[in-house]
Amino acid sequence: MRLFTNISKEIILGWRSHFFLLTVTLAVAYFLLMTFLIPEDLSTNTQLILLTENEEIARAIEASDRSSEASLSFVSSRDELYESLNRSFSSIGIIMSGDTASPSFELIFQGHEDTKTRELVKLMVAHLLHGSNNQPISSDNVQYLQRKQDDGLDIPFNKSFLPIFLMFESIMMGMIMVFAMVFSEKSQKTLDAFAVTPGRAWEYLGAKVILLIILGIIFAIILTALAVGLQAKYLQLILIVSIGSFLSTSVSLIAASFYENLSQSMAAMLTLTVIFSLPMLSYYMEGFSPWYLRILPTFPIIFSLKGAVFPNQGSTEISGLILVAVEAVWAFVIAVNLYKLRMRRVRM
Amino acid sequence: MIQVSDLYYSYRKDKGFAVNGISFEVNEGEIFGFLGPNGAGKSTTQKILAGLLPVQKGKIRVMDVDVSATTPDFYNKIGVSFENPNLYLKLTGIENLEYFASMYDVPTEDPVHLLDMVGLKDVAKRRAGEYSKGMQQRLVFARSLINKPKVWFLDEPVSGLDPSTSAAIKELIKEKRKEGTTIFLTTHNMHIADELCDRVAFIVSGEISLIDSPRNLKLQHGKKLVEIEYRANGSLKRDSLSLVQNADRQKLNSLLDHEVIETIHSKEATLEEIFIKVTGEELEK
Repeated sequence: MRLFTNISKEIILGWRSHFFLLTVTLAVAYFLLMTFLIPEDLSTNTQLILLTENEEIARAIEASDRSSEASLSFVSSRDELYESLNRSFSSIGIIMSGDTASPSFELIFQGHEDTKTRELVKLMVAHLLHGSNNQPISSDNVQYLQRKQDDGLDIPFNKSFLPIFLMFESIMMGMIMVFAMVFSEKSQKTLDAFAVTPGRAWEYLGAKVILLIILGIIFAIILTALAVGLQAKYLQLILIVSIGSFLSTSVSLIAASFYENLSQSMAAMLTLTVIFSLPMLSYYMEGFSPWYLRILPTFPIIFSLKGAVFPNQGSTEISGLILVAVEAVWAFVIAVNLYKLRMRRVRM
Repeated sequence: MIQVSDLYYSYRKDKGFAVNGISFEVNEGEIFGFLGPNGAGKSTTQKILAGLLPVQKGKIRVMDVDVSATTPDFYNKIGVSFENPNLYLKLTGIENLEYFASMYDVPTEDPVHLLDMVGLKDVAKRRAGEYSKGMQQRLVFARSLINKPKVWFLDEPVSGLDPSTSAAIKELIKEKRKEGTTIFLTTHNMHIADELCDRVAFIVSGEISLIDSPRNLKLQHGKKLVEIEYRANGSLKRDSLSLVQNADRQKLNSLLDHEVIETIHSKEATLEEIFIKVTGEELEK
């Protein structure tokens, strides 16, 4: 009953502190950012612009295999070639001379291309001129150690940010808000007033954790619904956000108990945020997942979030989530004991 | 009701004691005043008694409960009114009281009735942050009564209040004493102590100088004089007469019988004067 009253108090305070409005606004803002500011596709198709006076070479090239992503266009003069190159920053110029028996070529790059791109273009041009002498690589000859659950639909680049945003706001938003709530109560000294009632520290802190889980779930549902609609597994998403928010909030409660105000705690708050954010590196570079990232509780969370919002592109690691839940309970127990000490209920 | 024996407390956990070996007892249904200047150790003692600070050294029993090992039930029976308003400023007056009422396992007072008692009924639905400091102080005072406490700790209960509110609060305190509540009152306001307390303790630099009733203190330390103003032969005259010396007593009787008395005051010592005489310290530092 006391827990319920504490939750009700936290919800009223959260509402009057505009936490709910902020959560909904942020969810919509992240959706707009994802939709209108981050491109859907970052890949750039290289455009090859070819200048040749030899009709035979031109026909040979047109007839050759064009399975590459590069598009090919012809120009009739050097001036036209440079004009085209100036118009498109991703274009590369090729000037062919000689005859089909002994062709030679000159390549004109923009200057920003890396070595890999330059070598690739050289190979492409050689292939256009001579065709491939090697056997084509069939998909039967390719082996994957970790096969992606791919239904043929890649995640658009902008939507690939969804798990990151969920991680930052649904789960780690609680960390910042807990600091704000705790220091507001410290300045108002309401903890002293609570300390002379029979209320328990776990009820007092549990209510804060539950408020932040509710805010995290609201953010996650709004942003996910706007971004991917019904495609996501919402029950799974709610479970992951609840566990993640429980952990981050409990850890923040521990950290906040050592400081008297927001400015004193700034370094600790930023350090925690950075540490909890590190697994995002592995999210974008899946080949980079050293042990020190894998042991962080946010590591299984971010990949589980991906599995929940893109069910065809990942899966939820249940054992990892159970471990995070256990860690969250431990962190909460430590926080409760620290607050009991603070309330001087225990001999120091 | 409250037994304190050889209590020490140091914030730095060294020999610089804020409370330095004090002992006293408070009887059931008594208003016990803890008087001293700022920094004397009054609030520290009260915080230890209420379980807000740990017992470092010494023994304290409140309602037969060892304060160093309190249970939630202990807090069902005590009420604490803090000197500085510590309220949820974004909750209304009534919401503040309803929230704290829900924390107790015992029957509680009706929040509306409490707000009415402290003159805040009309602003019950306004946020505490919109209250003046005096109104916030009254809300804290009302909150401390929400669980009908058997032992009531009051820290400067009328500090910063206007005279009429202050009078209302004092009446409430007297009423609670009549109901049998034991009241531990810390203050540096000697008028409040004089008016309300059955016994007072003077505390300076963490040590108790004396404990007695205000009446006894005045009898022991006051001058037995009467100051009188009267009209004689058409002019106003003043005199100061001893209540002990026979000549003065006879003169006083004669004046009362034959002259027109305009004012007459017994020249008792105030608690403040006694405090300064006993401790050598001023109350307002």
